Amino acid sequence: MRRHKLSVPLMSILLIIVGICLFAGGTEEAYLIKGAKVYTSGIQGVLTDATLFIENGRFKKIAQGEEWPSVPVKNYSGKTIIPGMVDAHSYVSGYYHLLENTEVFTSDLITAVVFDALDPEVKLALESGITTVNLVPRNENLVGGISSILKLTRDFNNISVLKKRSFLKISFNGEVIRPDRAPTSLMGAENLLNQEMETIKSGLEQNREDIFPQNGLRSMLEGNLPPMIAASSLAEINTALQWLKKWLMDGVIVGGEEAHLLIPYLKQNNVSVLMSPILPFYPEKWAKNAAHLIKQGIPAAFVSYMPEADPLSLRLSALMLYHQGLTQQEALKTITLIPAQILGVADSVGSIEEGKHADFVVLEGEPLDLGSRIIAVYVNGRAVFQGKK
Amino acid sequence: MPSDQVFLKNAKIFTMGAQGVLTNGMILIKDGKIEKIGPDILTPSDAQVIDLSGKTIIPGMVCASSALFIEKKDLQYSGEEKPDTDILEGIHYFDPSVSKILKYGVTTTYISPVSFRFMGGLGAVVKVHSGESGKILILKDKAALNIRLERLQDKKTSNVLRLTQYHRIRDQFKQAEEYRKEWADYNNKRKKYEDEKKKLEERKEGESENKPTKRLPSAKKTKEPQRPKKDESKEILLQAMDKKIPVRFIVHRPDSILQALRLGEEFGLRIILEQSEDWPYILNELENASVSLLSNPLLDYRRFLFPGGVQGYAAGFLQVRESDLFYPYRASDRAKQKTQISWGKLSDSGIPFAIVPPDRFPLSARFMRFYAALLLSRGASPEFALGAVTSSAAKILGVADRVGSLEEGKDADLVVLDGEPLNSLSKIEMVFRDGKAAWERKR
Repeated sequence: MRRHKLSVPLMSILLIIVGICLFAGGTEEAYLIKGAKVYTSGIQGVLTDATLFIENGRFKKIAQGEEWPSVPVKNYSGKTIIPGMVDAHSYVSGYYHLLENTEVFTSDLITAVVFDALDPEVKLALESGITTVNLVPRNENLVGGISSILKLTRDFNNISVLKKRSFLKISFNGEVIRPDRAPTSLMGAENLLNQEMETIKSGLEQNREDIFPQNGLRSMLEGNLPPMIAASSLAEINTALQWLKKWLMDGVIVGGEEAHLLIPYLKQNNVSVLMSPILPFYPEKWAKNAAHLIKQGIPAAFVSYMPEADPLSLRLSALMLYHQGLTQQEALKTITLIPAQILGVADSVGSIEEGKHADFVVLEGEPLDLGSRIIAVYVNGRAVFQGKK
Repeated sequence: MPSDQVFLKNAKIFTMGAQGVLTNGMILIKDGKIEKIGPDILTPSDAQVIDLSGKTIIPGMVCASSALFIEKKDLQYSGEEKPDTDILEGIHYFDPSVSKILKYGVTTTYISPVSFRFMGGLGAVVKVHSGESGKILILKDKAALNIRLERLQDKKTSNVLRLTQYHRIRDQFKQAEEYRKEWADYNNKRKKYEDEKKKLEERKEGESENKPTKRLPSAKKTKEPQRPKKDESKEILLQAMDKKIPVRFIVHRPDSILQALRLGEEFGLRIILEQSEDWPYILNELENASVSLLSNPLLDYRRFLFPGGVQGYAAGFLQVRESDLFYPYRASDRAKQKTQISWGKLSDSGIPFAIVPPDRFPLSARFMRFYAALLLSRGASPEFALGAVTSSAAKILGVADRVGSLEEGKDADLVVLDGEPLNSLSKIEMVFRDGKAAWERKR
């Protein structure tokens, strides 16, 4: 009898809680965002006083002063909204899991499997406004593996992968060269890679690629997986470009500190550049060169290398472009739309446009002012971070 | 005829001093110093007048830690364990970074030997300037003694290792105390000896006048005391113990910060904590211990990372692996949040605070203004954030009488911006150093 008496209030409390949860969940399904200044990064440019209608995790309609359905309204007047940032080269949550250093070729590995939603780095990235990442293998292997594009989330039951096989990570970077095993030089690295590709092409492979039919190099040869090549210095980038030309492939360069010296060749080969972030101690000319690259029309975006650099370095890098004479809109695109385009996911993320995922960041002030606080971050229409009011 | 007087008018001036913010302020500069500053000064007839309507002026920024004027290869200096290594003895005068840093409005910086030893030597406060003859302008020499409490051994650290290191540093101070005693002892004996010698001579004189005696008993008893060896290192430590030289402890973890405080209490040191990422855990202790703090919002993140910062790792400066991690644990989300909200608390606490760049590379000093903006975004007050790169930094470095704020009689180091100083989007228009336009934006 006593148990029964107790359970009645308990039940009612439970019911109320469930009700609140359902109600709260319901409001997330469809709502309006009003009052903010929106940097869309898309064709609509900067919208002042536009209303965003969000339904089922996507931007349903973006317009000014119209009849809107009667759904809950979130008022962000006086605030700024930018698209969720896209980090095209990140080790977030898996710095030590993304290096399989037993062989020089580990082309069948996929990074998505080691994404750890509960890692504090994920939270940090989200709080800094990064909502989409391309999780990549590290630079130490000649062919490190296959990168995956993920939406950042803290919900480990619900990890959404935008593209499981986005790029094959190849490294001509200094880190691949070691004294204790081949390759010990850039020349050797290029040659070793060619040998491996020829072997696969001829169908005579006798190594782990036999066991794993989903081999990255084979997919790349078949044209299903574009290469992403880590190359920083002029020599490395030059080698990468020559190599791409030899195998008649389009690709992406990561690092690219001296890419501005090869602009005509980048254009010829249809190569985009994912630039290292501008860290405090980097030389001034890097910002200048990056701005030059962008002004010359090369698709170029900044990446964070997180956790090697702070997630804030994305906004800092874009800020440096602003100080090199680009407008805030242009600079902002290098961390939102352009990386999404380079990754080939611009149809769903990278800008605030109708039909795209409702990933956006609400800031107190101008987007590239480091002093303006991030108030809220939304992924797929749901608030994943909400700062103190 | 060009005059050396410069008159700046109609600017919004953040004086960082008693006058606060002047919305329509004027500054008269004469002989490199601020002659007058205020809301209403008559335009002098023979001065060069610069109208700065719509512009903002802040004091030249002060960087509380940098490796400027140090040759790149010296960054990994691993010399002897000597507190008396003075940065001013080994300076690379023509550092190409000078003009690059100045451009961003940083006019004063603290420089010190970069050392991975316990006792890193003496730093100095200098102007960001290298003259034609390679002369640097020193504001203060022996500005602080650098001590590293968490040194890595074979790129590793552990609790036991840190404790041993703590005791080794403590021993050095103990030895310095002994040394002081030894000298005090010697001085006493010397005095006694001199007195007796004098007495003896007097007696001798008296005796020669009268009859010579056979024995002089006291002369045999007192030997001339042996003079102890002078030790420069210990002299420096003694000066630190007399609070003449502040001690900058480079620490990271909360337990190490507490060790630094303990050393300070035991030997009566004036403590400046550098880096100290984990200060939020012991904010109360810091408040009670009257220490100064030098840190950076970007340092919060280093708890996941490596000694010297992951940027140091990325630059190939340090090469470590997971097992060598300085923080072998992962900070919990709650701890992380604590750091995030603590900047507001620190700003209210009254602990003297200044921003240091996240690493020692000279160019990192460029972004002082951006670090301050970051502080703002993490909940600190605007005055606190701007003070952390100007007045408060100058006070901690002990050069507040010359720089850090715009007041009469102080050096005319100032930065002209086209907008609010803490808005990262506003651009620097001019930088004055010692009354002269050291940098100007091209039009």
